[in-house]
Amino acid sequence: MEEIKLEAQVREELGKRPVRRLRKSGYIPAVVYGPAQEPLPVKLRESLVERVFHHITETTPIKLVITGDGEEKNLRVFLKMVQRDKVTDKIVHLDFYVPVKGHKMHINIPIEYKGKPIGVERGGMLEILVEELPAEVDPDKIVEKIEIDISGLGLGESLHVKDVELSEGIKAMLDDEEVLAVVIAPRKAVEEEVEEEEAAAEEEEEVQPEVIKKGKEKEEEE
Amino acid sequence: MLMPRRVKYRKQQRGRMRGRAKGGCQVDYGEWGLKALEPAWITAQQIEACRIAMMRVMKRRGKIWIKIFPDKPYTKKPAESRMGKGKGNVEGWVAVVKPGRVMFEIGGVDEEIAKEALRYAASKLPIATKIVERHHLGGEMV
Repeated sequence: MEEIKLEAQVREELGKRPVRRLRKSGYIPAVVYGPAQEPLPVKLRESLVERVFHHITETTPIKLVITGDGEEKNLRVFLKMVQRDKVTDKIVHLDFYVPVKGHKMHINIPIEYKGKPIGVERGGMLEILVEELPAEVDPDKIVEKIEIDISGLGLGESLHVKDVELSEGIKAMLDDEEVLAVVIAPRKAVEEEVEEEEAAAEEEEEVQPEVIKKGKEKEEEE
Repeated sequence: MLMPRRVKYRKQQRGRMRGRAKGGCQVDYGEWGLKALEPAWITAQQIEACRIAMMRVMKRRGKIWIKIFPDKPYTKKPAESRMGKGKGNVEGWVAVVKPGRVMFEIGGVDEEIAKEALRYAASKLPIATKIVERHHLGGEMV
């Protein structure tokens, strides 16, 4: 697994206003924590993060070099959470997790679906419902991604969690019957015509919604 | 046209559209989405126009998710009527959209088609929007 190196500095700016100023000056506030690590506020250069961010998933090991107070600290961390701005989609805050051996981690492992399902070749559409599998993993047994061959999926067939073979040390945190991907059968032309007719009829009628309160009163009157 | 089946009250007060969207700010189902950058009332007619425009571009391929629902009635007084005499009649239904809200999602088609479909949908709306991609890394929107 490829390890990504990130440089961070110990952050002294805490609280809403100092952190806002920090973001304006081109830094992203972050925090490093773990079972054996006291929460440590740090800051990272925005330009550095953006450069590597497209390659990072929750399963990517990151070498975090933290400088501050004349010391340098090297930590092997995983990205735990990303907070983004609702409107601009810019990264607002990062959480890094320092794993400890023997202490299980809860992470989302990316799923790579391989192959073209038979159902898709017959005109169906592949709908992927789960792109990342929430799992309980030993830190030393983390895999970068789970590869699943879906070329055998026919029309209307689905892939469940129980169908996925997970390597040792990984336990899926979803129900066995949970659907990961499904090949949807194409809608028939006849059905569509009926729907269109229904929609046209509805438009003509211009039905107003029923008022709940009014309906009850009428019933009482009767 | 989208509208509720049953409602508790026939008419509503207008309300304000302060702040940003509370939820629905991420692309959850499809691969691409159309995000609102301004607050607005989006009418059922506009939602339907967007749906038709997207369907036309996608040519019955892929899937569309409409993530807003017009559940707010808006009223209008008849033309040339004097003020007073109570609130006007219900004219239509709108969805209250605030900045950050992902209104439509598209999946199962190529990036090019998805973006074109969303561009067409955006042209049917009265607000500034942007096309967003699904984040493959978890997290939350703040």
